[in-house]
Amino acid sequence: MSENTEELKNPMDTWVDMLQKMAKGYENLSQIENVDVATAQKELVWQLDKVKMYHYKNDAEIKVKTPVLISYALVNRQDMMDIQPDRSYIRNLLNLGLDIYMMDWGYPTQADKFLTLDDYIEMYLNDGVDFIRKSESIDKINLMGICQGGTFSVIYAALHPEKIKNLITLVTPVDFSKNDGLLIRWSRDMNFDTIVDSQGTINGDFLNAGFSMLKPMMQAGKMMNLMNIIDDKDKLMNYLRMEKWINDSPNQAGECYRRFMKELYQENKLAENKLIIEGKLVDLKNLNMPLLNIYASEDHLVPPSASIALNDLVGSTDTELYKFPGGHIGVFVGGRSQKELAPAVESWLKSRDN
Amino acid sequence: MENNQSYFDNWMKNQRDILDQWNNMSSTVREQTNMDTFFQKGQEWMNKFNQTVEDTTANGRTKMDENVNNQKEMWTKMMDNWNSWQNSLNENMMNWSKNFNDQYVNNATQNFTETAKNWQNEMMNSTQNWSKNMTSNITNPFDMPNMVNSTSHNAYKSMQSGMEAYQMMAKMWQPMFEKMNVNGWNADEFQKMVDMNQFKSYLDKVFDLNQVNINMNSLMNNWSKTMMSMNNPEMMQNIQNSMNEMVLPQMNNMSGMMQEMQKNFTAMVAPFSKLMPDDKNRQMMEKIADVSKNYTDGFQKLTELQYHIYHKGQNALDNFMKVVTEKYENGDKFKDFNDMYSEWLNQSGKSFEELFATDEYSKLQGDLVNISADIKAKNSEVMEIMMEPLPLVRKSEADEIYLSNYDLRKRIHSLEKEMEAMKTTPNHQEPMVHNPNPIHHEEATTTTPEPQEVAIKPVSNSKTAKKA
Repeated sequence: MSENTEELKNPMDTWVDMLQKMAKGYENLSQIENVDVATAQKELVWQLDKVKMYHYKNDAEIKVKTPVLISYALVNRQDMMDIQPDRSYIRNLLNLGLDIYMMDWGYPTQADKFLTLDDYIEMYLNDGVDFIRKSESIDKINLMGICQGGTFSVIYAALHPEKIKNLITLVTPVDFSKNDGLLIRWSRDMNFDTIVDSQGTINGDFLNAGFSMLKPMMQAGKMMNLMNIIDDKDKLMNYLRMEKWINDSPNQAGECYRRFMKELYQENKLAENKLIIEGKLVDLKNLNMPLLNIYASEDHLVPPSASIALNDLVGSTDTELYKFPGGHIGVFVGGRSQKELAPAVESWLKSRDN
Repeated sequence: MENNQSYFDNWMKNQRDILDQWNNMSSTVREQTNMDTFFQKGQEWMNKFNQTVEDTTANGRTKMDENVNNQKEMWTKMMDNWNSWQNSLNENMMNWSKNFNDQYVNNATQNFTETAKNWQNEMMNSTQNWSKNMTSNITNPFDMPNMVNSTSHNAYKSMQSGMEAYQMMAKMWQPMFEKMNVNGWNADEFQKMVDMNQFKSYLDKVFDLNQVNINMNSLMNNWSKTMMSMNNPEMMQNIQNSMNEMVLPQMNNMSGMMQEMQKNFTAMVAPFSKLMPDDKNRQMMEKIADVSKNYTDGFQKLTELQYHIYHKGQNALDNFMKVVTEKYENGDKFKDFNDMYSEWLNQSGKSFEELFATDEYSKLQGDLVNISADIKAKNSEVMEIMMEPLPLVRKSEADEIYLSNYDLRKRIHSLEKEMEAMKTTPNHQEPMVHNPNPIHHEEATTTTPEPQEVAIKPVSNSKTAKKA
């Protein structure tokens, strides 16, 4: 036993203090009319079904002349990359002189349940890439994929290397053979046929519930953080923007989800060069363009091992691995990211922009 | 001040609403205890259902329009009936639990009598919770009219939920803090002072386990009593041993109980099913009985999963005690309860992540998700049969439309690609047929920061769109 003679406040008194903060929180939250995210100016330039492509306005001097198409995941929304003006990966890239296009996969409904992985790669992504090539009168574009959107980009670049000048992947899962990461582990015991057959279009809440179980005490921790910032309007708004993004979770087209989970997560077909898209084998050795592969050292959604493997699987001789300290989301919204990530990407692209 | 007043008014109103819901549910459960009444009600409902179907199909569409109110009533009855089935299932489960408890109490030491009683009460609470969840008609307890945007609303709900868990831990630690102020930190003493009921409630809250809480509360009570009665240096090992001795055999018994319950339910449904003609209604009832099998399987898996979570929770608490002991031995200390709670969240988070990484947990969770998906699929089949006579689009019919729509979109896309390829081919000629207004390709021509408000005009091909 150790001695501690200083008086500690009764926990129930502390609880009452917290209740008072909560009442104050109610008052503050009631006064907030709107929570804006993704406010960087952009223009809708292409659309096919519910999938859209935006072109960001950029008043800065363009320093990387080859435009960049960003492909985000189907899970959650690309808004996270422009969560607020002073924490915006997109704005940082724009300020450094990149010409940016963004795929927006939209909000699938039950009417979209039959969309397949093939459709997302060979119809939507391919048409989007072709649109930029044609409108910019160029043969190749730069492709940047985030998370699942990175996996899509890898598949696409392997199928159409003639259209991609440089490939950048961020926190992208490719090799699902390792038992790292709970999502990969848990997927082994799920029957995705039953799940898709019963749901049709996979509900975004279903996916979010799984993500929240990865860090079960995080919700309680968030409550503590919120209590501490409830009187600081700027910090409160930062918190709410993040919450808005987390809760904005689109449904997923069932057939695409089925193939992605079964053939990639469970059977690891992409890393093993066994994946077939519209009758064509996805051979990663065909991926011969320069590759910048960025992963997060503390990523609990996409374990580093699932990302790192890519560099050894591709046919390209110009590959670079970039380890970013932090988590899956921190890569984009963290304080360090604002200073380091976009400059690193711009520098890498600029040196390969001939 | 006005806002605070509104907050507490809402709080009070919600408490009252929840209480009313509980009272109503208790009445429903009581009403279903008589099996004869249950069969009678089921048959009445089925007769009325059949009669309505006959009326509507015999008199055609105009008659259907006249029967709108009847249909609404029928629909309500159908849902009532569905809930009755579920409540009966609960009731049956409670009976089996009671039988099991009686047997158990007769054969066990006096020490377990209290456990059995608690278990019975817990069973009643859990089934009521489950029924409440199934009926899904509870008034939103967080209805806050002053919240003008959903993000703020969700944040407040989250804060409130977090506060409930926080309160449970604060209550649990209150006596320890009082001791701490007198004698300082003493892990052994505090370990014995832990109110396991309170701790379990906390875990239930964090992991949202209340709705299907079968019997682990009483097991944990018994476990905590055993813990408190122990006072020796090998306490941790004894806890582990006692846990295995008490819980694991009961889990095996639980498995047998669930299987018996399923058999009993099937037997209960059989005579009802025989009363019906050999048609869709019977199919429906058989499917409902089939779903009940999934429910029992699900309960069984959930019980096992809860066991793992509680067990890991206890380990987390033990680890926490050790970490804090080291902290105090190094001359460090907590500033207040918030400081300690943050440390607890950190430590327990690591422990639960360890559990979730195990094959056993993954398998259990996978089984539960798969069973849940299977129940949803089978319920859809039941609804298909129920809705067949009604002038409503069924899921299978909607799926046919979706598939046709998908195939058409693909075909149009493919044809447009072919046309474009023809245009770029030397000596190409314009196609004979041209659709000037394809339905699926659109081009934006207006600049706006709000995507939803972008003006879009149809174009014949996405690739012909120009950057503005």
